[in-house]
Amino acid sequence: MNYRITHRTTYAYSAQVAVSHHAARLRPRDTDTQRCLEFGLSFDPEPDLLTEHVDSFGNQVSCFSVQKLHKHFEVVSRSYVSITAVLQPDPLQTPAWEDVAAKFRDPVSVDLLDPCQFVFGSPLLVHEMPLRTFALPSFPKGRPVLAAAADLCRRINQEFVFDPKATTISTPLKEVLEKKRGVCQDFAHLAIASLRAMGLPARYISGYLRTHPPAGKPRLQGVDASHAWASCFVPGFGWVDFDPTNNCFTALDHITVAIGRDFSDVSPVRGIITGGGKHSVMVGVDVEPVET
Amino acid sequence: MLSRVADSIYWMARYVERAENLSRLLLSTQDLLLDAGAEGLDEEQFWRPILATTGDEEAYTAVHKKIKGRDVAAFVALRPENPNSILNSIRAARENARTVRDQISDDVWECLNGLRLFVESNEGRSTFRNQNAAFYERVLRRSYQFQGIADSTTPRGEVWHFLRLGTCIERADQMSRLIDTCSAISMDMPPHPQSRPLRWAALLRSCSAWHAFQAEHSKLDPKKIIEYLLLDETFPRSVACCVVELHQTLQCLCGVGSLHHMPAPVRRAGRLRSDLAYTTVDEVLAFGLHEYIDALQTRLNDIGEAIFQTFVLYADLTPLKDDGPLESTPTQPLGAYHVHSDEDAQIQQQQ
Amino acid sequence: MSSLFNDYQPGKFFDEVFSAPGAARSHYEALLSNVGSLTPGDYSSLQKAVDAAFLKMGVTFTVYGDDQGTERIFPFDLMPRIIPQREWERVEAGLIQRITALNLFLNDIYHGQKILTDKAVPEELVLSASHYRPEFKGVKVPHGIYIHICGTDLVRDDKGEYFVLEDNGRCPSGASYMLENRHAMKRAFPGLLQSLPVRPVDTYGTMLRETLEHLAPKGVLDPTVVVLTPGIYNSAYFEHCYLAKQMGVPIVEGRDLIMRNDRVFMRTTKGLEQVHVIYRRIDDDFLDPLVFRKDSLLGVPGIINSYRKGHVALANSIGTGVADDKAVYALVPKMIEYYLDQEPILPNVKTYLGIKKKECAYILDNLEKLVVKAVNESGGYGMLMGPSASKKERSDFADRIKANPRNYIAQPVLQLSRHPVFVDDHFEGRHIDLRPYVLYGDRVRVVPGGLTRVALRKGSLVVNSSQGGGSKDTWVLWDECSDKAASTQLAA
Repeated sequence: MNYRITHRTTYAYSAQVAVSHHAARLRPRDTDTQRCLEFGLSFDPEPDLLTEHVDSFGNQVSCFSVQKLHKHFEVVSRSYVSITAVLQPDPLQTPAWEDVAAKFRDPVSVDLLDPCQFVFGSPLLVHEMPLRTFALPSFPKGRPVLAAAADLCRRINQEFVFDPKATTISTPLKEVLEKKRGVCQDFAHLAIASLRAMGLPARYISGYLRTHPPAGKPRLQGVDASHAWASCFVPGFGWVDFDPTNNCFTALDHITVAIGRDFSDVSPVRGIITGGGKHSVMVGVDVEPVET
Repeated sequence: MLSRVADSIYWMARYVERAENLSRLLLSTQDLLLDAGAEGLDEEQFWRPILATTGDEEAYTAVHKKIKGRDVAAFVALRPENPNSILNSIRAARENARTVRDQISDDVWECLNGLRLFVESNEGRSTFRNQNAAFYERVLRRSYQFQGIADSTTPRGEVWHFLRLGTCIERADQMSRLIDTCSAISMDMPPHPQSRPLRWAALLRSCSAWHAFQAEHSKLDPKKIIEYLLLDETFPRSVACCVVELHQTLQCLCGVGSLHHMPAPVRRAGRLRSDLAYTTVDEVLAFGLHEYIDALQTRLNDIGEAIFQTFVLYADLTPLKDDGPLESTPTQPLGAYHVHSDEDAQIQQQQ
Repeated sequence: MSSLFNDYQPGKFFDEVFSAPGAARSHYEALLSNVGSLTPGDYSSLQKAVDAAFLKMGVTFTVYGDDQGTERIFPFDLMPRIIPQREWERVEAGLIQRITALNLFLNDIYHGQKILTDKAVPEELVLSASHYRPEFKGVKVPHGIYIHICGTDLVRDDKGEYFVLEDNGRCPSGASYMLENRHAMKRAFPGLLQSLPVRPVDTYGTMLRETLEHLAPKGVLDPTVVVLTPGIYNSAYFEHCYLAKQMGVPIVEGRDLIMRNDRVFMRTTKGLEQVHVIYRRIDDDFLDPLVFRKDSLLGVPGIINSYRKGHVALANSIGTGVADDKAVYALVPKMIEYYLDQEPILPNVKTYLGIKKKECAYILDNLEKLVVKAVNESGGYGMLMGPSASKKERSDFADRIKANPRNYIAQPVLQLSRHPVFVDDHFEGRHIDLRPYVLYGDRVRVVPGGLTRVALRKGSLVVNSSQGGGSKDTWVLWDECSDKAASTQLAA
């Protein structure tokens, strides 16, 4: 399956901005099942400075600064991505979750160094008791790790209401847990923190989701959005992504852009301005399937 | 020198000067009241002008129903809620000094720190309660001491220039406010005609001009007094004298270049200086004293704004348009400490 | 023996001055004969004069959790602590060894992570440290040095043995008090300082500046160095300002700096001026809102990018906090073995790690005997003094440990050495520690002495300024016969 993706972020300021700095993680990653065939960024106004580097999680980061007076700024990423079918292990055949957790208690073997960094608390997700309490029912003794993750995924999907008005980017997990409402980012965080509360590695994935128009209707442009889901580590196999918002393992519809410990590692566009008064931001994403 | 440091030095000097002027104003009003005798006098008429000078009438009436001498004095002197009080001016001066301690001499710092310790101490409060004249005297002395120490320990570089800018502009501003208090009520105050000169004497005293004025003029002619305090270039507290120094200091800071390419602060100060030099007191009165002072204050504010824009704000990003009214560019609080700048203390915004 | 010390009781602790009641250690004799001859009245008026001078000069720190942002003076006890040359040499060698190993460790975990793949230390301990910055992996820092300025806390046990209590590799504070204390001593006892071979500390400003200039980007001959402070409301603002003045460099806040073309500039009255080296006294988290905490108003957006490219140098580097983590502290002796193939000269205090199951169980079973510390707290916060804590405090702490074992470590309660401190009109013993300052530029240098901190409350073992601690001047003596050593040292 191939996709042509356009991601447009537009800032409007009520007054002139003197300097703005941005850091963007917009380039879809190359993974075992995904290839980014084309990628380009365009800007308005053109930044005075543009540099790129790869961060420690393997995401490509583009940093750009506009150093002249401006009242709006737009960055558009265009990419062309090819995805092949995901090979999924049978959840019931994966090792028991306790055995996986044991591998990440001392001593940890050297080849698990990479997943090991995803076991601990991270900037937005500190260990808290209520999370373990929440997670426990999905982890009866001996349940295979992926089956446990799938159950967690199902419970989040069933017990929580998708409600864009209930939370913001900075709502703490505890509040999400109390309100039982949130968006994809909250659900991904919840799944990750729950896995970690059980001593299991888990990471955060940001990306896009293909939306299917209602039967007989044409696909609308620009209505798609950034999406987020979680990933669980299965020894002997590797990372397996699952989407608590939609209660599924990811397949051909999920396009991976960036990977990190939580949202703070992967925010698609992050910026700081000097001056500018009030500002507003608009994000438009378009995921167009291309038949091959 | 760092822009923020320049701004802090400038405001440190302004706040010291403000505290000094307030103290002198309170002291002279109190004296006036004593001289005039209390019989049949409306306390309010004496004290309202003070609130008018400091621009705090509204803030005062929010706390007190009636204008009473004791309340006004306490409000202007020590009220922590009053951002323009002597107490807060001294605090602000000291906070600014604290941010630039590496730039000022230890003696200047100790002088200001000592003053702050005094006004915040129980000793300070009880001095004010029991004998407020002694309190004002103490602030005045310290402020003179500050000027003296600064004068004898500060190298004549940028630090000095910004110190002088702050002192001069604040002094000119305070003086103009002081004159303005007489513009509306001067002729019908006080009720006894024979004590009329008292009001004018008090005006002279409240800016330490009594003796200097007497040495030149034998009669307390209101017109002469206005001329002296507004247009005389020899008396150090007159508006004209302050503006002359302001202009000279700005020239030192900017360097003397072609007259046609003067930076905005120099140009504005220079223009005001010559206006004051070539204006007669009759013209002022014909124009209307209050209206004239209103315009004068606007121009002083414009000079202050131009100083900020040129030296503190990131000059090469937001160039000043040559002349014309200033564009109100959004400015981050880059510079000095002020008593109530907390709400907009956001330098950067996140998105 | 003089009158002031006649009734002094060293007690059952290791006393720095007296080996037994009335028996002074030899390196204190000259001092005692001088100070002891004063009357209590003279002594206390000297003390009062110094206190007044500190307040007047604004030698203060800010106490948090107090609405008024109260500034207090850091209480200062006049009687100096003396360290003889031979003792100091060992301390110095130990500190140099330690900072060298710590830097090799940081360079390793931010690059190849060899120490982890070789299993010399448990990786989960390092990777789980909350100040570990994976964002910063692979970034080359000037000369591969991460900690340029280190304040290492040393204590002595009941036998007088030196131990390292913790490393402060982020923004160690207190150097200004060390300098001010010496200044005060010079005024209070001018003759005494002249007659004793006390090694000077006032070169610290110059040494610090040299250390910082050493980091300047290649090709910059006359680098502009600045001190970056969070501002006047920071508890250590006095110190930031003081050090800037000592070095003769500007003190700046985040808002004074601006990025252009990936370079850092400060706004001056004459335009923009490029900055090459920043002695930053702002924590990683607040340094660059583009990379770390977004809500930080103290930092400079884009500064990390500039650092990454080598256009500006930061001291200390990013991510050094991982070495401050009290659980990682426990690994330092292993680092010394692994990187330097040496035995640690200065031993660690025995440490039990909450993250290790067995050790955690031991901690929980022996709370009343141990000091428990949160791994990332400093300043005496987040601590449980087992023996003096109430039952409720202990069980509260046990819950916290169980909830997040990685976050806690425990150590046996050390009977810190004591030193006479003037109380009202006589001397009493109080527990002390020592924070020497280590600078790592073109070579490692240790300032002779440091800040001796005193737990002023009777019986207290907590020396932090925020918890009722005070300080003393620290005198490192040249050996009586080491004039030669002195001159060679100066030449070096």
